[in-house]
Formats: sequence, C-alpha cells, structure tokens
Amino acid sequence: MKKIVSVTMAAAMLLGLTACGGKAGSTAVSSSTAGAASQSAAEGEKVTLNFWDMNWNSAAGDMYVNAAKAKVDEFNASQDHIVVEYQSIPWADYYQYFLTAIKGGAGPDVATAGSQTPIQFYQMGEILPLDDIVEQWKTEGTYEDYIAGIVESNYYDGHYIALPWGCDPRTIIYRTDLFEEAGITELPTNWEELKAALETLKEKFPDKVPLAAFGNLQGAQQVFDYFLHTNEGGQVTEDLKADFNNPKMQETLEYVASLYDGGLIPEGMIAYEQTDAERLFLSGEACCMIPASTSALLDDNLKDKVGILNPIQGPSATEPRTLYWANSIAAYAQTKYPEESKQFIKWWLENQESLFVDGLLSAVPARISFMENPYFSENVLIKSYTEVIYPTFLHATYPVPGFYPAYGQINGERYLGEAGQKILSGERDYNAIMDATQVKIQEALDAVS
Amino acid sequence: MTMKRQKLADDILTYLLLFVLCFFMSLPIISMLGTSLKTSQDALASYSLFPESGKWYFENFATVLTKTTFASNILNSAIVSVGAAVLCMVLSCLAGYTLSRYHTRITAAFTILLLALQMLPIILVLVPTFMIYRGFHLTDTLLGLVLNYTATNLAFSIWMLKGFFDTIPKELEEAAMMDGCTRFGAFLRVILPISAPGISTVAIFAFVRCWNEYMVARVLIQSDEYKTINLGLQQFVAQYSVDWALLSAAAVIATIPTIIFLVCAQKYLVQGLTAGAVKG
Amino acid sequence: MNLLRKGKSKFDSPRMGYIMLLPAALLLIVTQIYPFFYGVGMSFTDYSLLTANAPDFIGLGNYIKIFTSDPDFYKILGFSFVYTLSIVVFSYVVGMALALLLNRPIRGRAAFRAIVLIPWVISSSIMATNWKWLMNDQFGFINGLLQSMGLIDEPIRFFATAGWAQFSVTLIGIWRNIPFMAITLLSGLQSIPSDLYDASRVDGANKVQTFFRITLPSLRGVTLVSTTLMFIWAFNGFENIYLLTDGGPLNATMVVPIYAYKTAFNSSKMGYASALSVVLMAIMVIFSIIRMKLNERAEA
Repeated sequence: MKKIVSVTMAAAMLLGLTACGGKAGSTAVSSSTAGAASQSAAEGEKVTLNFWDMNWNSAAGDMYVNAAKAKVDEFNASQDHIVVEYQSIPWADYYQYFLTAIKGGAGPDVATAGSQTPIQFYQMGEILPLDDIVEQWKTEGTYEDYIAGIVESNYYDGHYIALPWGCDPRTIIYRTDLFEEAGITELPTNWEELKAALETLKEKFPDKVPLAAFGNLQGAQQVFDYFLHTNEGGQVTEDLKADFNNPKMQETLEYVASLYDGGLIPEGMIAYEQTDAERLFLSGEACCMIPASTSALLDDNLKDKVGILNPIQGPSATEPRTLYWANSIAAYAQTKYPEESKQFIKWWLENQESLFVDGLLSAVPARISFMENPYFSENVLIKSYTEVIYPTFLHATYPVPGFYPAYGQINGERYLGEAGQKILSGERDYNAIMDATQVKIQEALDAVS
Repeated sequence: MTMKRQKLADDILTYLLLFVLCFFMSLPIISMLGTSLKTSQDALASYSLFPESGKWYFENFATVLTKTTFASNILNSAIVSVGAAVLCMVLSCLAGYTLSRYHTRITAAFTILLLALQMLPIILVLVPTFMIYRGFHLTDTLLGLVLNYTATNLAFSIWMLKGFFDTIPKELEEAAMMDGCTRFGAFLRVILPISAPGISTVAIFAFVRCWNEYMVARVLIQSDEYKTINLGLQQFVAQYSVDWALLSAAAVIATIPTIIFLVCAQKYLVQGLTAGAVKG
Repeated sequence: MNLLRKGKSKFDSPRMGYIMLLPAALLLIVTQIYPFFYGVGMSFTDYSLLTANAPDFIGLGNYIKIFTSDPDFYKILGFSFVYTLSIVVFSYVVGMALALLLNRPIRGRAAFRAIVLIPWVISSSIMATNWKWLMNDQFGFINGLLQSMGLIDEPIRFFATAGWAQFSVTLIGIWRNIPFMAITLLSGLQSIPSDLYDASRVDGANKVQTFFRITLPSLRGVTLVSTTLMFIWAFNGFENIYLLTDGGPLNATMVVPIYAYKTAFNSSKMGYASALSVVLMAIMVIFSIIRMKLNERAEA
C-alpha cells in the first residue's frame, strides 16, 4: 500500500506541476463569455449576445427552459447577424451571481431577473436604457397594447431601464369542494368577509388549517404586502419619504394579527418556507393558501378542486386590489453590442406570445393582445386571472408608479416582512413596530439619495 | 468469572450506546432513504420514516436519472475534487516539509500566515476572488474551481502535514543523504513513502470539503456542462420543491458516491490521524 | 564526524526549502492573500454597490459604527459565541464518548465508524432539508414520535420561537461536527501507549480515575488542535444556519458571517460587510492566540 501511494504521489507531483502551466492557457477558449467579449463587431461578422434568463416556471421542471431555448433558436434563424446564446439561471442566490459576475466584468448582454434587479444595477451604472424601443413602439402603436402603467414601472431618471414582458400577481387560492361543503356560496369580497369565511371553515374542519401561509422573512413580506395592497397602502410616499407608520399600515398589521390570534393561519408559520405551506395545501390539510402556488394549480389530484379567490378590498381601499410586480427584460451596459442587444429585446418582447403557452408561464403577459390567445381566453382558471384580477392590479411599488432606487433595499432587506414577523411572534405594540421600521425605510431612502 | 461478566456488561452497554448515537447521527440519512421510497402522495402527509404501506416504490430513482444531469454533475464533482485533492497533496507535501525542516524567519512567518488563512471569512474575498479569476479567464472552467479549492484547502493541509513530518526523525534523511541522495531525493524516496498515512488523510479531508462546496461554485460556474453535484442538486430542489419523494431520491443518488468513498477511506483516515497528522 | 557536519550545513541551507514552498506560496498569494488585502482595503471605504460613484475612504468609520452604533451587532455577536462555544463543547463531549466506544475491541467497528462519519461527508443542503423535514411541526418524524410516546400534546415548533430556533440550529451544528471530533479523538486514543494504562491498573485506579489521570492528559495536544479548529470553523461557518433558518426568526439565529453576507448582498454595503468580516477574523485570531497562550501556561 505504502509503495503504491508513494509512486502515485511522485507521478502526481510531476503531472500536477506540469499540467498546471499547460492547462491555464488552453482554458481561455472554453470560457464562452471571454470569447464573445474579445470579438470585434466588424461588418459582416457574426455578433454573439449572452442572454441570461431565469427559469420562469420552475414548478414545471425544464418546460420553460426548453421553450425559451426554442424561441432563441427561432430568433437566431430569423436573421444572420446576431447569435444569441441562451443561459438558464437558477433562482437560488441569483442576485449574488449577477452581482459578482457584473462587478467582475463578466455580466450578460441581455437578461431577465428579479423584478427589482434592473433598478439596482441602473444605480451602479450597469444598465443600458431602452428608450429607443419605447420611442419606436409609440410610433408603431405597440405601446398602447401594454397594460396601463406597466411600461412606466421601469421608467426612472428619464429612462426606460427595462421593459416588461409579464406581470406577477399575488392571489389566494382555495379548495372549491371544501368551500361548498362548508356552505360558503358567496366568495368573500373584503377583509371582514374573508375572515368570516375562514372562521366558518375552521368551525367546519377543525383539523384543517383555514389559510395556509408561510412566514419566514420572504413569506411574511408577501402576506403583509398582499393585504397592505388590498388596503391601498404603501411603505413610502409618492415623493419618496418614509411612510411606514400610516393608518393603512396599522390596519393591515392589526388584520393579520387578528387572523393569527383567531387560529386562521398556521401557528408555527414564522418558521415556514414556501414548501411547508404548499405541503399543507397539497396534502389536503388546508382550505386556502396565500400566495397562490403554481404547483398546487398544476397538481393532478387538486386541479379540479382549486379556484382563485376574487380580489379583496381593505377597509381604507376604494376598490378591490391585487398586488403585482412587473417582470422585465433589460440590457446591460457592459455589452459590446448595444444596438444588437436592443434589436434582440424588441424581437423577444414582440414574439413572445407562444412562449406563454409552450412554457406554461405562470405570469400573465404584459401585452393585452397576447391574452386573446385561446390559452388565456378559454382556460377557466387563467380566464379568471385575466378578466377579474388584472383590472385590479396595483404595482408593488405603490404609491410610487415604478421601481425607485431604494426599493431594491426596502424589498430585498424585507423590512415589511420583519415587521410582519414581529406580529407573527405575538408582539402587539403596533406603534413601536411601525416606528422602528419607519427609521429603517428612511435610512434606505437616504442611502441612495 | 466476574471479569468475564464485567466484560460482557461493558460490551452490551457499548453496543447500546453506539446504536443510540449512531441512530442520532444517521437520522437524516434514514429519513432521506425512507422518503425516497415513498410515492409523492405518501411523502406529503405522513410522520413515518418509511412508506406506511410497507411497499417500497423505486420509480423515483428512475425518474430522477432521466430528468437530471446528475451523471455529468457527479463526473464534474469527481474531476474537481480529485484534481484539487491531488494538487493540494502535492503542494502541501512540498510546503509542509519545508516548514517542518527549515526554521527561518520566513518559514515562521509563513506558518503563522497559514493559521490566519484558515480564518478567512468567505464574504471578505468572494468578489475580489471572482475578479481575479475573471482576469485569468478562469471563471466558468473546472480548472478555476480546482485552483480555488486547492487554495482554500491548502492552509489546513500544509499545516496538517507539517505536524506529520515533525514526528519523523531528521536522522532518516540525514542517513539517506550520507548514502548519496540529494536533499530532494531523500524527501522523495525516504520521507514520502513513510508519510503515506498522513498524506492520504490530507487528501481525504480535501476531497470531502471540495465535494460539498457550494458557494464558490455557484459564483464561478455558469455553463450546465461544468456544474458540480451541489449546483445540480440545488437546481433540482428549486424545480421539484414540493415533490419530497423525488427530491429524496435525488439526494440519495447525490450522496452515494461520498458514502462509498467514506467506507473505503475511513481506515486510512484514522491511521493517518493516529500517526500524527493532528498533533498540534 | 566531519562528514556529518558537512551534511548538516547542507541540511540547513534553506534555499531548497524556499523552492519547495514557492508553488504553494504563489497560489496562496494570488488567490487568497491578494483578495484578503483587497477586502481589508474595502473595509476602510463606504463602498456601496448601489451607486456608480467611486468609493470614498472613510478611515475607521465602519469599525466605529460597528462597535458604537450598530443596534444589532452585539446581539448577533453574543449568539455567535453561544452557538460556537456550544458546538465546541458538546461536539467534543459526544465525540469523546464515541471515540471511547469505538476504541473498544468490538465487532463491526469499521461499520460503526463509517456511520459516525456520515454527517461530515453529506452535502449541507441535503442535511438541512432533511433536518427541516424531521423537525417539521405538522408532519415531522420527531414530533410524531414524541406525540405517540405521549411526551408532548402540542407539536414543538422547532424553528418558530427564538429559543427553540437557537436550540435547533445549535443541535444540528453539533451533530454536523461530532464526526470530526470523534475521529480525531479516536486517533488520539489509539496513539496512547498501552503501558500507561497497565501502570494505572497496577496502581488500582478505576476507569473514571484512569480516564482523568491518563487518557485526558495524553490527549492534550489533540484537544488543543481540534477545539481550536472547531472554534474557527463554527465561528466562521455560514452554510448551516443559512440553510436552516437564514438567521430568523427575527434575527434570533443571526450570526456574524450571515450578517456580513446579508449586508453585502441584500443591502449592497460592501464596505461595511468587509469591516464586519475583518472584525470576525480579528476575533478568531485573538481567540486562537489566547487559546495557545493558556495552553502554553498549562504545560509549563
């Protein structure tokens, strides 16, 4: 044994030391981004763009990725100047991945990412504005085809820093069969009715959780943000001052606290991740779930028994509201080929319709005409999305019309989620919670001004 | 007679304690194995570790193998971990020997530096590290990962081998050199062969730590073809987050290579450590 | 005699040694030491990833803020110490118990050893997911077991309250580190000469006395090294808590490395995150020095 090891050692030593020098040179070729960056965009020569795309329907495995790759192939075949290389980016730690790559000079030319990502990179000077495309759309009439206000959600500092392709709403799903069994025939339309329905469910099914939810930072953020928006509330004023201790916020905190104290949401939810809430719903242990999950909608055992609740109205709201984020695509300033990047983005947005169908995107398209596709207009579940929910949209940044620089930190650090977790851990001093958060929001706003 | 009875009682107690402790140590593994044999529906809502029906469902494994790129992920992890372990072994033998045998100001400073490097927080170096690798065109290459893993494991490895070489008497090389060997020759022919246990311990440590690394791989690797098993697994987790049975099957497959490795390597690990690698 | 002296002088020339040191030194300088200084440099600036402006040098500003006006820092540091010291102490105690058991001449020793080593080789994300499943309040095996044994009525919410969450991440941290302790201590036990034990037996010492008089003192070197390393790894460790609770609920399980990570990547304050990392490293350096000095005194 000893002899074998020592022989291997000696061999490895020689190999290791020589291979070290030899390999370093040859790997430069295998780095595709490096190769692209060093090419020149001379006339007639092909231009390579790196397109980073998130998996927008990860609940359905590779379905979206394959459809998106096919779409990119279609673009590559449609002209002979640009070659787009498709790269699917997993959601886990994606922001850190973008950040290190872009800071290290190895970012993408074009990318989709989290909805707040473009404003974050714009602040760093890493975003290429897409004003030209909007100009063109305004003359071509395409601009009118977008959901009102959605293009403006990425208008900042006089520039369109990204362009929307879809909207990502938060809704509550419910078990139609259990509602029927509990005798709930009228769907709730406001906070009080929702609470009454949940109480009825709790009485009828004492062993089930009325409303499955998850309350880790991300989950608490979503639950409170959802109710805050149904109450037409926000965390900042329209002219970007901290506004966390407002009456609508207090109503929201008190309302969720009453759901928690009434045993209508899971007692241990502060430790739940999305999968824990989904597990409750999928195993039939819960009557409703917030936020709606694609897995639950696609589940074979449940798909005929699940519906989407209508938008809800809070006590201070003028009408029922639905929280949504604009999902967008952006070009990055490091690109060597700004014109080609814009050309691709314009094509991508205009030809994306089939991707919603082939990739089973859970998002609703940002373009109105795409919704005329039979996939949207005939599917009952999705139809209720487009007809009932879409007119009640209130963007996540409300009352600000679009993403603002501090939003990245306010949403990313999950100040609202932190305040919500205090509620979920039994703290009931609303003023203290709101005042503490108010300070943090103001700090975040100050940090970027 | 009492001696015998005493021994029997001790043995029973030993086994009892070992079973309890081993159960605690392997609880997550048992849970993972059990869940991987359940149907997706069964896995959703039951307390039990193994399928309640008593029927073992093996289909999850077939599904995982057809739906993932685990084969290529495992190969990448093997290349990177073996590469880094070997390189680490070579460099740390050379350096560890020097630190053990030459006591100058430079080697003393280097020894202190190695201790400090083990305390390097990853956040402090993550962004600059990426920039350097970018500069050498080493991002998105397996070689980049090999070099990074070698570097991050080097401090501990050198330090362990220095401890090991310290236990070997100097007279051994001196004798070989009087027989006409050069210094390096004595090192190669005399010191290395008797250091095999210590060297294998270093290699095992490095291999295991490389196999399980996630954060640096996440930042450095972009292409699917270079993804390691932890990246593949993370991707799979995101895609099948609620199919716990399938997830567990994937985790079992991802864990098998390390378990096999462990069963083969544990003997050498104990031998190497016993022989003085961690003596301080 | 003459020959030997000649050999000695050749032996003591360090040039050959430096050449052998060079490859490792080069690699460390490029990939570890340079980034380290780069990071330390950043810690003296207000470098924020949120703006395109070049970072300004602010001297010790970040450090002053950490120690005087960061509302969370001392709480986080406090739990970091509790978490780390618990891991060091309990993984040492359980590791020692396992090592003593595995050192006995019993059947199936190799199999037991392999099982004990499992937590060490399994990937962190797999182990975190499985522990979370086992400790789930609704469907977890552990709650099911305790309930069926009649020990509890209500399920324990292992990650929901501050106290339970701190207990759970610490317990899993200990679990994760027992194998290293067990295996190093086992190797330490095996290198204790058996005549020491024979002498002790002749003196009529019982097992407990033998353990404290012979075994423990003989393991002093191994103990020093393994506990120091464990302190560094646990204090600097990131993945365990990050994957289990992400520092929650309400920062109850937040430790310095995760705090630095979040400061860097959620708040984009690279300068401040670097300063936190430097403080983290300084604490480890100071602790290790104290540990070594105490040991030197004990030995003297």
